Amino acid sequence: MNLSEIHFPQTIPELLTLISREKNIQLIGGATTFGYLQPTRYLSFPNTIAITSRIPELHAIHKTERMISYGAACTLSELEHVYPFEHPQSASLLRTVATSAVRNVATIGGHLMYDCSFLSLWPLFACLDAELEFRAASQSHIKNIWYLVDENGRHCAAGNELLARIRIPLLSIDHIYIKRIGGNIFPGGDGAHLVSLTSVDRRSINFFRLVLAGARAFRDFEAEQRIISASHPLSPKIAQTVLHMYAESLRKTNFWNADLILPLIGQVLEDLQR
Amino acid sequence: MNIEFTLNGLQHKVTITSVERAIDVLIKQCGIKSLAAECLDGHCGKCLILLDGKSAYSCIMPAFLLRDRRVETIEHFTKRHEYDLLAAELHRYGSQSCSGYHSAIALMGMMLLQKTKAPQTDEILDALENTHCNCLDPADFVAAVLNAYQKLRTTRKQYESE
Amino acid sequence: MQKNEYIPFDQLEVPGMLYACMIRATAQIGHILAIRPPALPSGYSILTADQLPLRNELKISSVSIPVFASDTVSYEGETVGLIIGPDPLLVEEFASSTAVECDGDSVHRDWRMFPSSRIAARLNLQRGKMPEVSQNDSPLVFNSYVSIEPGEFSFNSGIGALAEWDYDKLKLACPTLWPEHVRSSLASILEASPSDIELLPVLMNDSSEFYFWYPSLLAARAAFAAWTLKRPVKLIVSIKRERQYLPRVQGISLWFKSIWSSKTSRLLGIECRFSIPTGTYSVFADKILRKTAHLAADIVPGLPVSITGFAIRTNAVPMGAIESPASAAIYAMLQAHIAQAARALDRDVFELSQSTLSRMDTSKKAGAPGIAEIPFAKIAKPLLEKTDFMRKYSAYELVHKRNPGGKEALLRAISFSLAYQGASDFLPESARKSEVRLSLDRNLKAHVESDAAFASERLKAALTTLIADNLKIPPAHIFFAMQKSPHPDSVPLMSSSGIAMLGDIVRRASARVQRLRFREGLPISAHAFSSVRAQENSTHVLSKIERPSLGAAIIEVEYDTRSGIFQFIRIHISVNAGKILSPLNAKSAIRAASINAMRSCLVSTSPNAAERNDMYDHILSRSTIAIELLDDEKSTIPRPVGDIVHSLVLSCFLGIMQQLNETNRFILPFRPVSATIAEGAQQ
Repeated sequence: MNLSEIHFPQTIPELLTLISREKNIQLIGGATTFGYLQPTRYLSFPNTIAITSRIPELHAIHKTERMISYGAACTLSELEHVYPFEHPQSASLLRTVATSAVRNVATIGGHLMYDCSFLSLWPLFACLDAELEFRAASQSHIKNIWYLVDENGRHCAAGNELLARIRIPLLSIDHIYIKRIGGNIFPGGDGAHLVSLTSVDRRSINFFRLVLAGARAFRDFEAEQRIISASHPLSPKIAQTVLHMYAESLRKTNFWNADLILPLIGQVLEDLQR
Repeated sequence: MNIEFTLNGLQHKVTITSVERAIDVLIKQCGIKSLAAECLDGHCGKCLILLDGKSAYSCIMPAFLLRDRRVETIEHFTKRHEYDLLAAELHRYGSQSCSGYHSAIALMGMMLLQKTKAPQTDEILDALENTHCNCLDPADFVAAVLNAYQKLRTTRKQYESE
Repeated sequence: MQKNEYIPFDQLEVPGMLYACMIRATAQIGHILAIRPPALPSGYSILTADQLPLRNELKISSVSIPVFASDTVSYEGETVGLIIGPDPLLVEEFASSTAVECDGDSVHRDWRMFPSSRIAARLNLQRGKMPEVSQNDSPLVFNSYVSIEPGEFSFNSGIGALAEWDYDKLKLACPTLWPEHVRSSLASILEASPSDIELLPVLMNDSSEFYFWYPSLLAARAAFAAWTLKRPVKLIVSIKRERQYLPRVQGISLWFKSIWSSKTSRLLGIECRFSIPTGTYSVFADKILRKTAHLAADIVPGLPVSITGFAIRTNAVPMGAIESPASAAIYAMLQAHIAQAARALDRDVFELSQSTLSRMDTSKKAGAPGIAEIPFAKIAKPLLEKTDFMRKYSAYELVHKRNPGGKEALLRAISFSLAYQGASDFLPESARKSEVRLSLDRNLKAHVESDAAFASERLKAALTTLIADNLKIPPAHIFFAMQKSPHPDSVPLMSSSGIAMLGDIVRRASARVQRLRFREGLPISAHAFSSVRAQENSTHVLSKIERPSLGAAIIEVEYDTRSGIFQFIRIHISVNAGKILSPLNAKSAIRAASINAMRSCLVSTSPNAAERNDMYDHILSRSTIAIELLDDEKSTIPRPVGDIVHSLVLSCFLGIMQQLNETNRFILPFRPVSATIAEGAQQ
C-alpha cells in the first residue's frame, strides 16, 4: 500500500511544472480504470498524483466551422451531444462504452491514453483523423492519433507529456459502420471494434477510413487510398480488389483472425456498393 | 489530507489518504447507510451516488475526487414528497426491484425527477442500467418515472397558479 | 420500496472489533513448506492451523473440510490462515502480500477427461431396455454434446462472518440461507450445544444464491479467531479480489443420445453420460448427480432410460449448487432433440414436445393409478398464440433451410420449450423439516419465529403479506425473529422447495391463529411444521410427479452472423406455480432467474476479473421479458419455480442454437468469436 501525494493544479502551467518536477507522477481524470482494475479495497497510485479536473482549459469544448476540439478532461457524457456523437450509431457506441455512472466520471483523455489496449472509442477517433495536442514544459506539439501506435500495432505511452486537447476535423459522414467483436475490451479480453467511415461528394468517395482496434490497432493505408476518389456506388471490381488488399495485409500483420474480420470488411464494402 | 465536500446538503470535512475509495469514506466517516461495497468494480451499482447531480459509482472512485464536490445519496431524498410519489408509481406498475437495489433505483428515479426537462426513455433506461437489477422490468420503471414526473409537474403548476 | 429491517453485513460493526482476512495459497498447491507474512506491526497477528484451539475439521454431510489447510494445500487459493488486526485495509494488504510456499503438486483442472481415481461419486440410472435397431422400423438416432462452464454465484448480500464470544456462548452474524447448518456444524466442531450459538439475522438480498455450506466454513474461521484473540472478529472477504477462489456453480459436460421411431414419431429411449466438476471436497456430490438425472428421467416415465453420471474431483474450489443451469442440462437436451426430431419427422414441434413430455404412462395397466397427464397445453397454447410462434417458426425455418450456414448478416430464430418441477426436490438427507411459531400478542402484533428471519427480503415481504391478509392486521405489525430452539433438520432457504414449504406452513400457522382468535383471548400462539418426504432410492425413478409447477417459454433472438453477437433477445415466459403469495415478487424473481440463465448461456464469468465478458450486459438489460403467471384457483400453496426458469431458458437457447446452425455441439457460454482469435492477438 503506497500513500501518494495528491495535487490539485488549477492551471496548465502549474500542472506542467509538476510534471517536470516529479518523475513518478500519475495524471488522474476520473480514475475509473484504476478503481475498476485494481482488485484490492485500497487503491495504489504512484508517489505523486495530479488531478486534472480543476483546470478549466482541459474541460472546454470549442467548435469552429472546420473542426471541433475537446479538452482531455471532458467526461464521456459531456461529449454525448457533440460531433461525432450526434450520429445515432456513434452515439450508441458511446453508450456501450460503459454505463452512464462511469461515463459521467471517465474522461476522454484517459480513454484514449489508456495504454494497455485500445478502448472502444479509439478506433472511431482514429477514423476521424483526430489530432492530439500534447504539452510539455517548454513547447506544445500536435500529433496524429496514430502516434500512439507502435510498429507492432500496440499502444505505446506518449512519454512525459500532457495530452491537453483532442481536435477533430468536421466531416460529413455518409456511411458509418461500427461493429464490436469479441468479449471484454479490457486487457485479457479478446474484444475489438471495427469502425469504418465514408464520405461521398458528388457521386465519388472523397473520404474512407477503416480501423480495427482492440489489443492491437490495424489500418491499411493503401487499401483506403484505392477506394478514395472511386465512384459511388463502388464498383464490384474495386470492392473485390480492396477486399483482397485487406486480406493480404491482415495476413501479413498476423492480425487476429482474418476469417472473422474479412466478412465484416466485406460488409462495409457491400454497403458502399448500394 | 483534509478535504471538504457537500454531502446531502451539509458541508463535511474529512481526513483521507490516497488509497481510500470514496465509498469507504462515505460509509465509515460520514455514516451513510444506504451504500454497499459489494463488487468494487461498478458492476452491481449498490454504491451509486449523485456527484454534482449526476450518477457515479463511489466504489471505483478514489476518495480524493470528492473534494469540493456535491454528493447526494438516497438519504437526502427519502423524506421528500417526490420519493413517496415514485414509490407509489413503481408499486402501481407491477414491478419490484430486489431489496439490495432499492436505494440505488430510488436514487436514479430521484435524479430523473429533478430534471427540468421531461426525461427521455433512453435517458431513463441509461439510469436504470447503472443498477444492474435484473428483477425490475425496465418498461415498468420508464412508465413509473414518466408518470411521477407528469404528476409532479401538474401539482407544481397548480401551486404556482394559485 | 420497503425499508430494510436489518443492517447489511458489509456495515455490521461491534465495539472493539478486529478484522480478519484470509491468507490464500495462490501460487502452488501441495505440501506446505513455509508461510511468509510481511513484518506485522503491533496489534496485528497471524493465525494458522497449528494455533487452532480445537479440531481443524468441519464436517459437512459425510465430507470433512479443514478449517485451515494445515499440512497440504489441495486447491489454488485454499486458506492457510488469517491475518487479524484493527484496520481492514492494512489487514487486506498484509494478507495479500503473505507468500505461501508449497512443493508444487500437479494440478488437475480438467473435468471432461479424467482417470477413475478422480471420481468422487457416480450415478447409474437404468430403466427398461434400450430399443434395438431393427430393419422394419429404422429408428432415428440423434447424438449431441453440451458443455457448460462453471459459473459464478451472486454473493449479493456480502460475504464473511462476524464472531463474538461471551464466555462460552458464541454470537455469530453471517449472510446465510441455511442458518441451521451454520449452527449445527459449528456446534459439532466446537463441541458445544447448538443452543450456545446464537445466530443474528443479517440483511439478505433477494438474488443471493448463497452457497449453502460455505458460510459455515467462514463462521468457523471467524469463531476460531475470536476465541484465540478474545475479541470480536469480523472475517472480511473481498468478492472482487478473491473471486476466483470463491465457490462456483457447477458446470457439466454431457453426451446425449435419443432414439425415435420414424413410424410413430415417438421417443423410444434416451441414453446419456455426463460429468460434473465438484472441486476438491465433493460436498453433496451424489445429490447433485441425482438431481441432474432425475430432472430429465422423471418426465419420461415408462421409457427406457440409461444415465451415467460422474462427479469429478479437481484441484479447484469446491463447487455445486442446488439450482443451476447445469442440472437442467439433460432436460434441456431432451427438448433440443424433440425440436430436432420434429424437423426430421416433419411434425409440429409443439405437438411433439407435448406428446413426448406429458403422455400417460402406457406401461401401466388401464385403471391402475398411473401418471396423470401433465396439462402443458393449458399453459402453452395461449403463449403460442400470443407470440404468433407457429408462423414465425416456420418462416425462420424456411430462411435457414434456404440459406444453410447463414449467409444473411442478420438471422432470426425462435424456440419454444416446456418445463416442470416436482414438489419433492433435491435436498440433503439431514434437511427435511421446517417449522414456524406464530404468536399474536395483546397489541395485535404478530411475531414469527422461524428460519424465515434469515430469508431474503423478498420472501419476507411475501410472507408478511400472507400473514397480514390472513390475520387482517397491518404488515408493519409483523416481526420476524430467529427460533429459540430451531429444528435440527431445517431446510436451506434457497432451495425452492424450502421456500414453497415455508410459505405453506406460515399460511397454516396464520390460519390456525385466525381460527383461535374467535374462541380464545389474546395472546395466541400457533405452531406449524412440515417435512419433505424422503426421496426414493437413487436408482429408482419417482413413480409420480406430484403437484408439479409448470412453465412454457418462447425465446426470440436476432443474431448477427458476422460478429457472432445476439443483437436482441425477447423472452416470453408463462408459469403456473400454484398459489402466488405475491405476484410482484414472483414476477421479479422469474425475471431475475431468466436473465441469470441467459447470462450463463451467453456471458463467460471467468474468475479472472479482466477476462469477464461484459458485452451482453447492455443487451440483456434492455431485452424484453414478458412474464405471465397463471392463476391456479384450486391451489392453496405456492409451488417451487427455481428450476423451471433455468430449464426453460436453457432448453430454448439450445433450440435457438440448433435452428441457427444445425449444430450438435453446444459449448456454453456461447463465445462470439473463436478462441483462435485471442491466440492470434497474443502472437
